[in-house]
Amino acid sequence: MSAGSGMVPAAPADTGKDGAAARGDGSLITTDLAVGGMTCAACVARVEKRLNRIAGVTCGVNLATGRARVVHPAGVPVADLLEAVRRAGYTADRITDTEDAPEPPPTGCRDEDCLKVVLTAVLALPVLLVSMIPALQFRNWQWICFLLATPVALWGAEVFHRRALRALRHATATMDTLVSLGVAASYLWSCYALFLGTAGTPGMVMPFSLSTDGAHDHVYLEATVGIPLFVLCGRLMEDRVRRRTGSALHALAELVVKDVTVLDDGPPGEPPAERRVPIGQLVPGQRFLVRPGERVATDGVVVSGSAALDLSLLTGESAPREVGPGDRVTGGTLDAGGSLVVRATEVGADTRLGRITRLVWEAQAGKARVQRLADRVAGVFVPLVLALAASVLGFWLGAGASAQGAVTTAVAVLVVACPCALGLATPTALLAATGRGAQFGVLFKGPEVLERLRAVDTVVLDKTGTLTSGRMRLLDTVTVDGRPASAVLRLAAAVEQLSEHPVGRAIAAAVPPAERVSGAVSEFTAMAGTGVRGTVGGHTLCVRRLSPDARLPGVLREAGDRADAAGRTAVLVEIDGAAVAVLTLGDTLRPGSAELVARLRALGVEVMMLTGDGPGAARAVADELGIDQVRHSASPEDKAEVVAQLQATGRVPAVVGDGVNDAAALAGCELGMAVGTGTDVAIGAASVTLMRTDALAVADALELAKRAMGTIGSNLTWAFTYNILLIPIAAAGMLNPMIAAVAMSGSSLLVVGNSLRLRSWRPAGRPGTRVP
Amino acid sequence: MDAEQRLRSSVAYGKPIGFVLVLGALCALFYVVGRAAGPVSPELRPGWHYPRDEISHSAEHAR
Repeated sequence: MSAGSGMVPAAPADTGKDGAAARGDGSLITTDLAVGGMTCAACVARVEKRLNRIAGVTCGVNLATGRARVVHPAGVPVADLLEAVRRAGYTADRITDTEDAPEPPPTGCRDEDCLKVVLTAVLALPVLLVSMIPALQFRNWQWICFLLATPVALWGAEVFHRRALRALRHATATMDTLVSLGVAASYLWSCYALFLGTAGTPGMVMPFSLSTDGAHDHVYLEATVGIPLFVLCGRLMEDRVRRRTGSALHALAELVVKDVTVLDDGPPGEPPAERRVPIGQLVPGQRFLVRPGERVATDGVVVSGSAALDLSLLTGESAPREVGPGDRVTGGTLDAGGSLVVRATEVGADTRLGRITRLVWEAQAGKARVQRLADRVAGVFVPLVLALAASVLGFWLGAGASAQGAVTTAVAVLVVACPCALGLATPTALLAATGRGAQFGVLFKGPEVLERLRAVDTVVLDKTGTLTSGRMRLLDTVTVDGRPASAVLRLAAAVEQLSEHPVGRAIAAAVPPAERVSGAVSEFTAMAGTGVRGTVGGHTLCVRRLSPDARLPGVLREAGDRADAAGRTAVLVEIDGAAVAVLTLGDTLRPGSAELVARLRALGVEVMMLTGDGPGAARAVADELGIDQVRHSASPEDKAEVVAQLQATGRVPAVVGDGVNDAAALAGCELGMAVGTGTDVAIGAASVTLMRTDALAVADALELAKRAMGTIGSNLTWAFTYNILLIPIAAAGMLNPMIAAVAMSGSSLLVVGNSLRLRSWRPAGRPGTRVP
Repeated sequence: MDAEQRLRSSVAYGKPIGFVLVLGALCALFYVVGRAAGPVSPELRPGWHYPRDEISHSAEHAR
């Protein structure tokens, strides 16, 4: 294998319209190819080897998705890549529409494949029954079985012979070589025994045996039909299961709206005209209509109307979100009630749905380190098995076994040793895990992220936007005697509803609109940097920042000091010039923050809080959540420095953040997790994007990674154990080739079935979460 | 370019032939090993069964 093999190209920085993604330096291009005809890990190794031979090319091939991601110099034409794959004996096509992520193949099997399996089964089953049950062996049964087995050996197993010959032309051997040789050897031996030996004698009876039978002139027609039948059945089932593990892309593809109702401005005084257009024709700035039951066509801002949007398919959150004028909406979300007029802000691949789809596609197209190892092992496995079968044949011939016994033993070795379980062990588990993560709002940038995530022993959490919502909320109201808090608050909210300041909005939001003081606010004045003033209900109200030298009643002074110590914001309310109340405002914890800390500790992970806020605010949140390790007043450089220090002490930190100030730490750490509501810079620097609004997604990502790597471990253990145990048994002549075929197919199905269990994974404490 | 093409096709044909020869050599080598180690007792050889007359004799004896 060339030096570059085994390297998996990183996700492209930017994707061009033609499906080739141009790197930032402009000299390298990423091209995705659909590779057909790959059946096992040995095929993967072969395609990689061929592509990596081209100067400057590195590639990663994924068996489960049937795709190759090739990073090549701009000077290397795609035609050369396609030719290289074809030279390796496989079909290749360029994926020209990765913009919206490739559409995975349908989950059902192809009709011709199903028909082939059915016809093969119809021909093979009588042969299997009659050959294995002596009581059914009528006079000249062996000749009838020969007639039935011939089309199976030639037509049913044709795909194996064709691929084996193609591989041979390219000086290689694959799993198909093993199957083809097994079928050919057992069929030719049966022909020899029937036509030149004594097996064709009328009235011949053949006993059933689990092991090879070399005592009599034996026909091995049950192996001739059994091997292709079981392998074809196994592959068909594998194919179905493999496609199901990649269903996350299907689910995302279904969210894309095909048509949209655009609103065109008509003559003045007339309502806008509605026009139905394909989604591709929608441009940013246009207004479009969303009716109840429809999906929002693209990302935008609500111009008018109100509705409850169901975000469950996008973020895994089950509660609908109410939106109204000015709110941002995401394309792909379902309008559960109410009509909206939305102004499009992003379209196509720039939308949030487009970015999510691309992240899932990137994650599933990549290849993990453990998978590369398995592929390399499988690549040398087939030639070794062929060498082993030849050695076994020679040994038994020399050791006095009959030619029939020796040949059958070699055939059993060929069939049982196929490394297809080895090839499927890792990609199917990663595919299922990344897809399942996406369904719960956890997007991994690549399969290697899952490997790194498992090793994480320290989670560094940003405060604002990660543990807290980053939005001001009224936390406490303290009034002087004789002034009911609710009455003061209603007056303050009435004035503050005209304010644009976050503090003002938080105070206004604390009183429901129905409870606000009726009547207009007059003489409203916003005092820059200090507060607002206005007249409402005949009273002059002033809501302003609390200054340290203000003369206040004791109870208000104490409330102000408490807020100051806790790093919160205190504002003073004056009615007709008299100080009557202190309102304490502060950031609020995101849902699930406390549970997140508890779950991370339960996973054996240390928790640390890192924030740019001052000591008071940092300590208040840390105390509320029970976090001991806190670093406050940290600049972006400080955050990166803290991560570097942790790494220097041997720890494996993961950083969770949302802002531009977290980007350096996110990029520098072992593993960065960005909150999906955060900035694009943070998301770009992170390896995991959390699309949910609750903080628990962090723990979910860690748990899923541990579970996925556990599944991969058990898959690989099984695949290796299966081969290590059964090859010696087959070499000792204790395994009938037909039983070997059943064992080989069963092993692959077991591995794929084990991976499929990841699709039923649920985050702890979320029993009711949607399962698509 | 032609020479390179010829070299490539020679290598392409030579490789499978070489591999088949290696397999043949292995088969021959292990045949010799089998001869040297053998003959292996009949019970241990692949596909060995009790002769049919022995089975029927044992069955009659048991009756």
